[in-house]
Amino acid sequence: MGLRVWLLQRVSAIYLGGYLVYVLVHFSLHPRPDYAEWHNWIGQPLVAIGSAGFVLALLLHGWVGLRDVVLDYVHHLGLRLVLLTLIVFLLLGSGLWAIRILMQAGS
Amino acid sequence: MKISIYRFNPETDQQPRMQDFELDDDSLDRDTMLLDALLLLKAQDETLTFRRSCGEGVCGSDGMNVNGRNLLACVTPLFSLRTPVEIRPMPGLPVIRDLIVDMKQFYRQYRAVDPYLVNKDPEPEVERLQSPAEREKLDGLYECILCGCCSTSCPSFWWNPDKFLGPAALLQSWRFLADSRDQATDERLANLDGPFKLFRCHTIMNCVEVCPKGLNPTQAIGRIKELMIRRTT
Repeated sequence: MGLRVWLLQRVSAIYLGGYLVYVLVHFSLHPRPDYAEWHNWIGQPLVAIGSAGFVLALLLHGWVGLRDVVLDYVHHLGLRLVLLTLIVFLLLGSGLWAIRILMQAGS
Repeated sequence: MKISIYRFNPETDQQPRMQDFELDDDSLDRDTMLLDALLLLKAQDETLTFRRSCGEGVCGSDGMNVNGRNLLACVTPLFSLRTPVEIRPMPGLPVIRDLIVDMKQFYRQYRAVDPYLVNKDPEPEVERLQSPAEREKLDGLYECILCGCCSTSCPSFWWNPDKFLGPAALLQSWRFLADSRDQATDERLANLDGPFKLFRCHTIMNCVEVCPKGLNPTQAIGRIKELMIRRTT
């Protein structure tokens, strides 16, 4: 659990960094998109998949970070389990919501 | 010179308190170490309690927190310190009395990494030999004197002293993982896996900042992770 989670944090960070650079470059080349342009951009299959990957990486990265905070500071076993479960549900919910948005943009 | 020292005797005191001492500047010179000053103060007030032994940064007994930073009193020149000098016990461990902390937890974590050579081969006629290059890998690792300055300045060790091994123990873990004569690499790495023992380290690097011997536990921890990755892929 230790090494794999730590690696996940590093790998997801690299993906997040890469995606961020891509988005910043894209929007500095095409500043102020209107709705149609924005919809067109996010609807491209590669961009949609890349963005879904971003959401996934963000959720995994967030999970490792929040789990670290809980493991560091929350020492009561029951409370720790409750918090970790809450975090998982919160992140899963956010992930499903984000995927729904992406699917709507793609359709 | 004004020196303020943390005083606590659990047998008589409800609460710890800070006590101000005044040292006559004529009794001090450029070579006076903080430990010399403490010994002068102990002559003033013999109830003042602290650990000390070799007096030259080798035994690791007089680790303490001075102006917010862990150090060895015997190798710290008094005049390098901002005044008034504020001396407290090393943080994160229970205080036995004044500047003396209970190091039990620290030693327990040290013991947990099996800090000795494991070699299953039959004992050779001569010493187990190393090449100069193999020996060089132990530089910066074997010099640790277990003063506890690093682990007690590590927030991860403060929060989980019973589960996170801490920088001192992890440096020693790497000292034996890096040893060409040691044969317990797999067992040692398996023992370090899990979310707590090694992976509570968030590379805060307080350990590197305070180590009186100039060692780098954070780098050692990084090397352990590297070795784990190489072994599993």
